[in-house]
Amino acid sequence: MSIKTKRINRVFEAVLWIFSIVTIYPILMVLFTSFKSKGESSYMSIALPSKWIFENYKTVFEKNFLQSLSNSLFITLISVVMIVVLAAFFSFIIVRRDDKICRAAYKLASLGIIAPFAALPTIRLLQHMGIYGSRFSLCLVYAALYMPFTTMMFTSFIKGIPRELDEAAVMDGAVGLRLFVQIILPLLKPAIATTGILSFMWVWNELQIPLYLLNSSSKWTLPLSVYNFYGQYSHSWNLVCADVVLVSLPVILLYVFAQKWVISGMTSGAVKG
Amino acid sequence: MNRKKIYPLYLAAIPALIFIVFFLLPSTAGYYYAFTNWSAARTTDLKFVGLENVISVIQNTKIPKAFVNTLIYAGVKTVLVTVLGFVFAYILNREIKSRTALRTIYFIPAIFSCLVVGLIFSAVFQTRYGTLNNILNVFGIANVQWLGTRGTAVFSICTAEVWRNVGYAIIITLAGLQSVSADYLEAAKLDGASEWQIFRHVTLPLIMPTVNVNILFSLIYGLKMFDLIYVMTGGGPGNDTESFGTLMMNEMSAGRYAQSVAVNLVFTVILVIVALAYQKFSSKWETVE
Repeated sequence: MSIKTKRINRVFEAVLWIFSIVTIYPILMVLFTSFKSKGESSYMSIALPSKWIFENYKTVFEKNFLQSLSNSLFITLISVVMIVVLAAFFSFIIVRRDDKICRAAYKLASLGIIAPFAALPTIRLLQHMGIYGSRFSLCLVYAALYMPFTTMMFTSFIKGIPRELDEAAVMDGAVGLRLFVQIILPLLKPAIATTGILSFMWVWNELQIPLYLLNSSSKWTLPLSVYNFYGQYSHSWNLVCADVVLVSLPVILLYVFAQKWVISGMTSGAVKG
Repeated sequence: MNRKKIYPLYLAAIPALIFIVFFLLPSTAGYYYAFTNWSAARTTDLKFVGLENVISVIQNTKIPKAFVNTLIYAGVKTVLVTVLGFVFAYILNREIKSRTALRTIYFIPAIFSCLVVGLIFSAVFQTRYGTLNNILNVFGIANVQWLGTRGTAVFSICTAEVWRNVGYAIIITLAGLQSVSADYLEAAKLDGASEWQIFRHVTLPLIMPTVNVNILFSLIYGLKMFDLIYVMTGGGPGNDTESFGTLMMNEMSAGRYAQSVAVNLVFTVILVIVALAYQKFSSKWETVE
């Protein structure tokens, strides 16, 4: 690398660090504000709290937080398992069978990425089925809505697995479910990790769909309860910020510990189509 | 052995069933309700009323506004996210020491919920003591009501959306850049090409498919924007910042169920047209066929 290139790179590096303030500033602001007093918190800045008030978190915690947390966990975990498992099966058959029906199914699935959420027709459907408002109905809807995207990632991944492996397994008598579970599934681990983490983040963060589909506050997910909390306490930024920190904590932890999968998966799955 | 026996369709039956029942059915047959008299006051014995709702919704002044706003949100977001994502990814692809740390930082906003980002930027753009106004005050500029008028409110919402989404574009573009073979770059360099020439004639053509993916996803999700707008302005003041997404919600909250479905239907048609038109230019789905 020439000296000139090195110098240019150093300038670029400095520029990126300066720009990163735009990312970091609001995040730190929320974090610090969550420890401020109500009066101090109305002035939005990155200044440290003059007195650290940890009780903000306690206050927020006592406002039905655990109920919403358990709803969020229930809904997210079941949805993620469904999204990942169903998409894995679906993609396996689509890619390997590769006949007219399968290609049509893939095209329809791509429509699932494009089309907006048909909110009221879905509500009506769930009402007819007698499950409207239940937490599990939300999981079913998530499975249907997020499966197209995970299917796209799985199909590109499965295409990278040589067919010869299947053929060898078939020689040994493994077809259908056995072929999938014993041969393909173990190879899908990286794709499962990525789609699992991404769909966890998407489902956990979702606001629009629970807003339409959960009618009783006892079933509310965390984002929904935070949104309502903001409606009631919009002048207590310290409490709102504490709520924001709490609702973000799981995805932040997940990102910190599983960053590798998020990034590698986003890139391999989404790019190569 | 026969492919149909090795890969039996029934293994895909459950996922297909769930997809058909909970996505395809409401997204197609479900739009029947756009042609009924369904409302908060009338939930049973629905009558078919033909195109009445669709016509009234199209003639409604709210629709053109929502249409224009939706296009602005999606357009501004797509341009800024794609361009910024590209520039940052190009720099991050160079041999920079703190590259890993920078990459992590730039991706962080993408993991937050739209709700959280909406709340953060409500604080940033709030009139009294908001972050931006606090900074402007230092330079002697009086408070601006960022979320109070259409122009600045749309701008504020776009800012929040771009802030959240640049990270995705960076990661995807970065992957595209890293898949450009070093051999090509080396060969171009040996032929005496300048950095600009290499960029223009080697790198750029090779990563255009990746850029197309970015554009397509930014466009689709930009058109579908809901959460941020709902949290930051609720579509207001008046209907000034309404998108199709919030209009559907607000029509429903007002009890006009069939009208909400009609908006949904118009929106779906527009989205499918935009996405299919764009696919003509991108090869995203072609690889599958």
